[in-house]
Amino acid sequence: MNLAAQGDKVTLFLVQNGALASRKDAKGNPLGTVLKGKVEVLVDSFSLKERGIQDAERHPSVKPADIDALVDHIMAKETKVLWH
Amino acid sequence: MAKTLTISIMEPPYESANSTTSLRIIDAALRKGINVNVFAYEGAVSLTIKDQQPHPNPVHETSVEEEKHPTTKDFVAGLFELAKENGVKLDWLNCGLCVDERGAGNWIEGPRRGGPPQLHEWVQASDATLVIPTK
Repeated sequence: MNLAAQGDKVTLFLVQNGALASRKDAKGNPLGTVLKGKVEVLVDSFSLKERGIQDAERHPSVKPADIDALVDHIMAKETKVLWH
Repeated sequence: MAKTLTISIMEPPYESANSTTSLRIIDAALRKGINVNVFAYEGAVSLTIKDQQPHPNPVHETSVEEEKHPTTKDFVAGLFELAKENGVKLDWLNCGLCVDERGAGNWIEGPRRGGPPQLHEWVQASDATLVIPTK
């Protein structure tokens, strides 16, 4: 969020159990704060399917994406990628 | 000129979703025409062990053939085939010290032995580097 606040483009890609955080009703989920901070949030479609998370459960501002999209982000120029 | 991605992995096979995600990323990159360097260290050197065998599932009462249990060595072998088909390079280094510690040196065709100096060279020469550690 600090990076986004200083004008850097930041994308958070949720994968594996991180996909659980894409649910709009998840308790104590800081996702809303992250989205207000102008961070683009994507969630891996495969991880959603594995966990049975339906479209209606997902926060509307979190976009489903394939792993291809993650590779595109990783390979984009002037990008730092951090796995957490 | 094709771009190059270096990815460093350390998760042993069949332990966490990190292995699956790593292989999916490598697969997607190769399909996009990106050369991929993989530095496998710690438990990840066991991903390519040739002696891995699929097994039946006693809970499901299925045979080996019915279960079709996938092995990571077959997934990795498939990635080498994919790279060949797409005319890109997959270079896979297994950390030598990690291999020796585990007695995990009998690999499928494709991976080779290496160490941190090669990883450093890859990182310097690649367009992007992704490190997927264990927790």
